[in-house]
Amino acid sequence: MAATVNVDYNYRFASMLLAEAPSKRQLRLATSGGAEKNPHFFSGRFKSPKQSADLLIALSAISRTRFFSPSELQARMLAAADPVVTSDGDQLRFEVFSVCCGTYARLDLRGNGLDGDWIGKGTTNVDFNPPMRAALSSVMNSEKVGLRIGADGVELERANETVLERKVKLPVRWLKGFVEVQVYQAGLRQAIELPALELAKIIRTLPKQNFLQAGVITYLVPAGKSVRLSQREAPGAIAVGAISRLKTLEPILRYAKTVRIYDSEDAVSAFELTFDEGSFFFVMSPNAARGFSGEGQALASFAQSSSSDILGRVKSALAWQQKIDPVGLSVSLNVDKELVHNALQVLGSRGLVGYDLSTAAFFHRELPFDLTLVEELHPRMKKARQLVDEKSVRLVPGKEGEYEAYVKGSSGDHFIQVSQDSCRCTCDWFAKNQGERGPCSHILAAEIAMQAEDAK
Amino acid sequence: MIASALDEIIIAADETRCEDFFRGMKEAQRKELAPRALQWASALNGFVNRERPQFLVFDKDASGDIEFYRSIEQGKIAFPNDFKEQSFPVARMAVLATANFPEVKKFGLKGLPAPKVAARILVDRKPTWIDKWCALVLKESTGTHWLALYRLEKEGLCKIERNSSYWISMLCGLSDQELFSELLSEDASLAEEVWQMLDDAGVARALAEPERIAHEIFRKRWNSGGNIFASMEVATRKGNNVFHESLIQMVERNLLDKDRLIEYSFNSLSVIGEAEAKRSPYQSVSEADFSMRLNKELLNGAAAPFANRFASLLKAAHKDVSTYASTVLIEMPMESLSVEDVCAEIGPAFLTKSKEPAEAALKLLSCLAKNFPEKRECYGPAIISAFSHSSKDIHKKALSLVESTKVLELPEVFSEFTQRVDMIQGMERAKAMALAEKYKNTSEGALGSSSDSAASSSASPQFPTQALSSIDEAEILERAQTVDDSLRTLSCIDCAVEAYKAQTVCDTPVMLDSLNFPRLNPATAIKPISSLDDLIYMFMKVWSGKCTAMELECVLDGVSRLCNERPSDFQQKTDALRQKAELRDQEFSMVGWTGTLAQVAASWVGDSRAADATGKVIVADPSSIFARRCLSLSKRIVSKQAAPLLCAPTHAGGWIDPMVLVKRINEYFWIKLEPDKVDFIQALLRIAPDNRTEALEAAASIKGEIGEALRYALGSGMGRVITPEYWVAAFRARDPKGTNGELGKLLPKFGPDGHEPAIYGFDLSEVSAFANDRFASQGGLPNFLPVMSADPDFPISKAAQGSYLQTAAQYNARMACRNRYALFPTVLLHDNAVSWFAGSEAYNWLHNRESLLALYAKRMLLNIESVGSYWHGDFELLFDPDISLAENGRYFLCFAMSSKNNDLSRLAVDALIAAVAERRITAAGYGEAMSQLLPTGVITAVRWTRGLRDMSRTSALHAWFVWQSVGILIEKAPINSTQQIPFLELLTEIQIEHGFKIHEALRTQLSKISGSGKAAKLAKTMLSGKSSLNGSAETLASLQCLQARVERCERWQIRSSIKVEQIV
Repeated sequence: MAATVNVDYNYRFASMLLAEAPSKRQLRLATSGGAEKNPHFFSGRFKSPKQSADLLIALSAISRTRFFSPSELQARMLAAADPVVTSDGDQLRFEVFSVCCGTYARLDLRGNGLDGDWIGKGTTNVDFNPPMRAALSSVMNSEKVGLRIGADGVELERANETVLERKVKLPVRWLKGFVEVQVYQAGLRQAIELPALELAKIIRTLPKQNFLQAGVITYLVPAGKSVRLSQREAPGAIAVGAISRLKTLEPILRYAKTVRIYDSEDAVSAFELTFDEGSFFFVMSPNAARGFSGEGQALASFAQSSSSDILGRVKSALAWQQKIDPVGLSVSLNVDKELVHNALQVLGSRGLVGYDLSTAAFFHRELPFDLTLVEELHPRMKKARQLVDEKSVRLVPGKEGEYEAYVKGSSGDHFIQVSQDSCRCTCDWFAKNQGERGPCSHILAAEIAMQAEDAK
Repeated sequence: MIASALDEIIIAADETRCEDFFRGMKEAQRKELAPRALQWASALNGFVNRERPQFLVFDKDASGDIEFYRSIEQGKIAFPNDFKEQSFPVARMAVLATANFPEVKKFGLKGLPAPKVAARILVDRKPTWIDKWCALVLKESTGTHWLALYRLEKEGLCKIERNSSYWISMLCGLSDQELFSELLSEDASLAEEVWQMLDDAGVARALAEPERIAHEIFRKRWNSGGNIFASMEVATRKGNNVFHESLIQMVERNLLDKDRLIEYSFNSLSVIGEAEAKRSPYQSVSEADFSMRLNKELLNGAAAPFANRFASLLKAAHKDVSTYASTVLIEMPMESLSVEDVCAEIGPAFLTKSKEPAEAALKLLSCLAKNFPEKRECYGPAIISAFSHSSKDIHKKALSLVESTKVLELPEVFSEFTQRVDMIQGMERAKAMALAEKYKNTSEGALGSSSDSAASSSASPQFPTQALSSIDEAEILERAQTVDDSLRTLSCIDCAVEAYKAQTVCDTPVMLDSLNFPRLNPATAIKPISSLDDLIYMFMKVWSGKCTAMELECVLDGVSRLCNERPSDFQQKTDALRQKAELRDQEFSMVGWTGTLAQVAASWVGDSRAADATGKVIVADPSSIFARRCLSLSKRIVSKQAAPLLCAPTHAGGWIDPMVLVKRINEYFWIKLEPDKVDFIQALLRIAPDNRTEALEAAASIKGEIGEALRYALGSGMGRVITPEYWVAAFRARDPKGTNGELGKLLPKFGPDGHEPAIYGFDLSEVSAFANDRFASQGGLPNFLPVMSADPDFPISKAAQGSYLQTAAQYNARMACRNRYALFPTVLLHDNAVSWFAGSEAYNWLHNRESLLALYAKRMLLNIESVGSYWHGDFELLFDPDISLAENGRYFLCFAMSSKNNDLSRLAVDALIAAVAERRITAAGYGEAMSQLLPTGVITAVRWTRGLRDMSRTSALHAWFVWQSVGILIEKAPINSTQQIPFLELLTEIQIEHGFKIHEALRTQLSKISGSGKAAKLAKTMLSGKSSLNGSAETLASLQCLQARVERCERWQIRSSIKVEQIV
């Protein structure tokens, strides 16, 4: 049985699309959690109601999608978690993570798409119940649609009788993935920008996602003004794992002007659909059968020795910034820029900052979940700590800035080499993944032991 | 006395008396009566089930009860022997009225009277455990006892949590329409609960198919080992209409709000519409069917006020929902529709794979166009979005609507249309282009005058004359003149220049079977593993199976050179590797189950056992060379003789610089080590053509047969043949396609590519036979590329192959035929027995790739319908610019492009694109191969056209290649006109896009296609199609062809300019 974390959603009312007058409705999103219990962020209206409604529906659909369903799991579908919304006083960011933990989506609605009052800043969950979704899908272009995220005290008083409580067991792997994906995004680089229609043409040729294609990497190769699909890596080719997952974007591509595609060396890819009033991000793991939770990119951050002092100082400098400037922060905190960046990575892996691909910068948001368990329950991290506790790690000094270690494993001693640029281990898991899915438990154990040694 | 009164009531089967009997009774008295009531329930359960032995398998309690009943019947137990089935419900009442909660729980159905009665008994008794009982009933009798729970709660005796189980239980209650109506009329608050119930996701699923509840209960019971017959008691087994009828009836009786139910039906359709239709084969009614039917009946023709709701359903991903919405909107009075809203919503209807919603949407758009001709700016873009659909029928209908509505007069619509023209396939593309041409001037004029010129960049598609001017033809022609003479001949540059001047394309392939161009690319020199640590990690990686064939070679070379390095921490560093080697036979690697890598590892880091202690017999097949190399390496490691591996590649593609090979052999002699036979043979078959003269000089001092064979391979004369294996390999390294008479005398009746070159035939019947019966090959490969062989026993014929079931003698005879060639890798590549790709054989013989490509092609055919990838090999050689795919390689590509495995077919397209760009394949040859294979029935034509269509978009040269090769297919393939259609469509598209000229033979063939069918229409369209001005399309393709040849020669020249000293 997978480890889970209990999350209590405590909405003071059910989200709804309220009819105020003919052709005038208001989307009232109930909030739960965050710094306040039921925060109130925004009150105003959408400038493009239909487009915004369809984007929110698409986002919500991703949060309920399982792109990979191993047969043994089909019967026990996991509870989908409600979207997370962050208000920074100028834009709203809605974030979701798919049930299979392999895709992350975010809708940024900028200030120019909204007209109204910014009441509060913060991060919270919003209720996306089926009747609300159904009503949202009926929004027409000719309508005026208001938006309220949260409610003020008086309204909450009135709504007291219709408290909506849901207790959800969120899998730890889901939470792990949610934080892991931020670290991954920080490593992505923009590869190409296309007219949205060109991506639509590609998507229509894709077969339906099936389990056989879960691990297949397909490449988007620049061809003229567009791209074509290829199965072979080539200079300039963008690697996309289980590419059929892009079909999810098909219904909203018609609103997009351009598509920016981001890629990385480890086949994590991201697609940003740009609109006049915001962006829609869709980040995919390299393999549909492998969620971000299993990748372990944040593990290095967990094991890292970013001093708690620096971490604390960077954390205290967070004030719902849209774009955190590591250089500015390093000057104001009088800390090396590299250390600030490392600290932001660690904060990302603790759900305290997200990463915005379009600005290539972290932004402040605090996931409304208890993330302490993420680190505690990560199997590799847990095992690494156990190895250290059992004194199964023997460190051997290496050259300047390098060290070696022997770590006891289930099949003999594993030989570990750690340098500034790379680390490697003789275990099967590392041999198979070559660090693509983060460090193995033996490398983590060696790093923890090394830090303990340094601390002495 | 009271007990006897209870006996009397139960025997009389009088429920009313029973209820009266217990009414107001004190708990103490009930406690006294409980044992008697329990006995009665058990005995009656035994009585009822006495003739149902099958029941006992599932209900252990019942078997005990039957035994109890039998004892009473036989007089072994003193108990009234007066049983009838009607007494059982009374006994159940007695149990609930007397027993404590653990007993009631244990007795299950034996203590559970009908819901109404149960409620009355408990209301009277008011036990302290009533909440527990409610939870138990909700869990165990979900489908039957909601009413009891409702009554108890109404009486204020309990508070039940509203969860999925409660809602399902309530839903089951709804199946009794009369009772539920009665309750609703009595209790207004119940109606609100009904709405809450309907909002539950589980209820929404169960509404459509009540049977699902029973299935679910059965599943739970089965999994938990409980009473699987519980599901049979669910009160919902009344067909699929039960809930539908109930809801409608409640509305008719004004017990439920009609408007709210209408709203509910719309919301359900919206939620269902979020996902694509997915109906289980076991499902008779889908949720969409249910909601649509409910919606339709509730609206009863008065749908107009809900026009916007229906419009919002048009975008549903569920095909039925979208189709339903379109259909209702079409039937509606048109004045009730908002054209703007409908058109804004309709786009996604063309994204579903199914045709129905798209057809219905087009019909709706047609109605709108008819009724609101002035609103073209709304429905124009909506019609254009229909081209997103994959069906040609939809394109056809959309085009006729575009034409009839004249929406292309609007500049924005025209611009959108031209951007989507390439999504239209076949003849419709021609029509689309004609339309674009027709409206070009009007729309462009309007665009020019418009202040918003965003769309002005997308004019109508044009032939690629503009692209031609962007290539500097003078520069290419000048570069062509500076190329070295011998390389120009190999690359056919003169031919390409002539073709360019004549506005045709040179289709002659680059002569890649020659040894006259350099292979050693300094940029791709292999860096050998230099440290023990690197070797350990790389060995682990290779062993994990995630490696390339080259990494495998590097590891073997590393172990060979570094095996004697034993630092003090060696044991510890290699501990994991050692442990793994001990599990040798359980490991899977890219070299198969041979355990060869494990053998190397064990010899290196394990004990010093003899390497062949495993006693494995290596059967000769194409991949066995690798196994033999590993075996010999293991032996050397055990004897602690570190030395470079002779056959370790020095450059990409597996090539060995001859100078390096000479140096390696010299090293062997210095350390007085005899080179291993298989290693030396393999090295000869990898000698690059570069630096051979220098290497021959350097090899002058190498003694013995090895020295003579090496010098022979490098260009010297033959020496005395002691080991024929050396000489065959050396001969094949210097003359890959030649004949050696001297070796022929020594090796009579020898296999192909021994002393005589393999000459390939083509046997179409093998492909046809495979198409008819895919399991007829009896374990061997379909041998459609047979080779002439002087040895009648090799390659093993189909007849000799025998069946899967064969005697040991037959098997041994077959093995003996193959084992003769164990150290003749060039001959062994013609073995037809092994049907999977081994990966390691990719570098067995580099000078002539035809035998390997023939093997690949046969294996590809065998696996053409496989969606798996377990049999895939190292396809990297298909992308080697120095390997020709013009002969046997083209068959591999033909089959791979028709592979059911999407990824493999896409890889084949990639390989074909690369081969065309590098002039390694000819349009004539590929067209011929296609025309041979298509009629056999093994090819799926749409897979070919899909790949070729993608390829044609790459460049003018690729489009020309497809145009030519498909043209040849049409000319030569004996196929009927229906089979020709997809190819004619492709040609039409290319003709429209590029305007290539139709050559005479194709023109004749096209004019022969008669009749009024689609093929004839396509042929007619093509014949009347326009060619590009002054042959500009051919010119551009020809220039690209020339450019590719020149660039290739320039790359070769760079290789040649590298001096020998630099390499050494």
